[in-house]
Amino acid sequence: MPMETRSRRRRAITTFPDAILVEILARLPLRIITRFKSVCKTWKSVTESAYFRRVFLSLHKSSSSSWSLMFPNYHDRPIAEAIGFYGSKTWALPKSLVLQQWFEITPPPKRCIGPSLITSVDEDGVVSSFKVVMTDSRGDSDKDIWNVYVYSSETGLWSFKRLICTRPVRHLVLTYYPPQNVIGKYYLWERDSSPTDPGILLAYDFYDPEEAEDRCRVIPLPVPGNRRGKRCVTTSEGDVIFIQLLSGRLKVWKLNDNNNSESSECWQLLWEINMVSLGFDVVDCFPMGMNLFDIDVVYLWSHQHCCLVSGNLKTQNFIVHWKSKDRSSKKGCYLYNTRDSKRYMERLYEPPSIFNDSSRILMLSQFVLPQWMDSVPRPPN
Amino acid sequence: MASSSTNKFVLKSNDDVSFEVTEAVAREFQVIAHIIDDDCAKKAIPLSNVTGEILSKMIEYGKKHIEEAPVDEEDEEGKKKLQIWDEEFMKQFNMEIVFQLILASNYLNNKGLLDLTCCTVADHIKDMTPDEVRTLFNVKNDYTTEEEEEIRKENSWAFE
Repeated sequence: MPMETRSRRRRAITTFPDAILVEILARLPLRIITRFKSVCKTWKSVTESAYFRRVFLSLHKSSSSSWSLMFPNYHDRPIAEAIGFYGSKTWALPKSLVLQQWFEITPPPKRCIGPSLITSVDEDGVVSSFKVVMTDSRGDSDKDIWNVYVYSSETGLWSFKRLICTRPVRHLVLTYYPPQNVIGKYYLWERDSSPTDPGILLAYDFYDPEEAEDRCRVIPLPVPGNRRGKRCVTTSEGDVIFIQLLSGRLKVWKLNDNNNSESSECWQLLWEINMVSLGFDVVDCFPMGMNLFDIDVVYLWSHQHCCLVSGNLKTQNFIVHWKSKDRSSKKGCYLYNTRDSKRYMERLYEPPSIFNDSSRILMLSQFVLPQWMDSVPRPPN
Repeated sequence: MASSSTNKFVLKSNDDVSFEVTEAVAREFQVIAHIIDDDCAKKAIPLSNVTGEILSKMIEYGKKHIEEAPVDEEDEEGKKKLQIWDEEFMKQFNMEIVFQLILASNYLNNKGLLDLTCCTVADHIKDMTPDEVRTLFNVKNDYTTEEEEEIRKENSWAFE
């Protein structure tokens, strides 16, 4: 009798319910999960389910897909990476996977500047579609109008959009200040016209079907400009972040973008840190951006030491990265590109230049590899 | 009211092996905690899906995690110590036993042990070929040669 139950059990254990199969497979890196799709049809359908994605994401909250903070393409220098995060084994989708999927789209019907990409990502992290937005360079004489061409991966076509701002927009500087986008929304910065003007961000949600009037939101920055202040606009954990370094104080604001308000009150001050009291010499530092997946981590450029600095705002622990290097942690590998950063960042300290005006604001591009191994959405043929 | 360290319960496996455990250890398994809360635990608690061999290992795990529980969230040293014990604990089992532990910890609802056992299997199979995985999980390849070739081609990066 005991022998019989034992042999029955031995056969039974090899068939797991799907829910347990999910628990096991979701603990593998994406590369292995993809490889095991060839085991059998059940394994393929289990790992391609929305439930599987949800379990995988909840198990790997503390790690993230690879990402980079990039310097935009200025007229005389190519795109360069300032800080990159690679090689988290769990995600580890190869860049070649993305590069294999390049396809060409026709240019917009008119001469445009500042191409930028907006993606629509569903709650499971799957890129469902994308749009490319370009600004009509000739513009309108009416400065409260912003003319754009929008390419949609859903239609494969360019469409013209005339966006109306609630106040005149004078100096949109698309070339030097790449737009930041957060989950389908698009933020542009307008250069301050006077040193005491807070400057504004323009916001438009290209994925919101309710945004019918084609009205751009105008969001004033939380504080007026200051000749000595160094500022940057960046994003982290899906929020727009504004950082200012002035008189040794580092302040970080988050844009609370849910009330569609057009006052500077929609900014919430997250951190105010007296850097001088930390014993850290930041007189000549410039904020560059935040960690895309960790709102506690900020990156600075130190003019004095000519190198990158990373800082944890919660623990107030700042690390100077003396030269370009790969820094491994258990979550993955960080690349600090001091050499290229120097070429771009030191320019901010040279008088006079387009960067070195009263405003001193920095906006870098942020690039993230897709979280899932699905194909890049393609327009219909 | 008796404290959970003195209050005892008897857990009975499907092959009639009984284990006396403290309430705290019994409560490590959510399903048993519910039985206790519903006041249905007067005498021995029968567990129809677990053998004595597996149950004894689960109790050993539960006891350790009660005795050596980290003081709080910040107790990195305590967490590390328990993690090292977990790794050593799993080394004694072959895959057949690990599979049974997965089913049992899922049935008795112990999240920690389910996570540990699933991680052990994931770690064991991560360098295997699809064919080796089929043997281990006793699943049949139900693709045609063409279908399998197609999947390999579509995901060639994962097979490099």
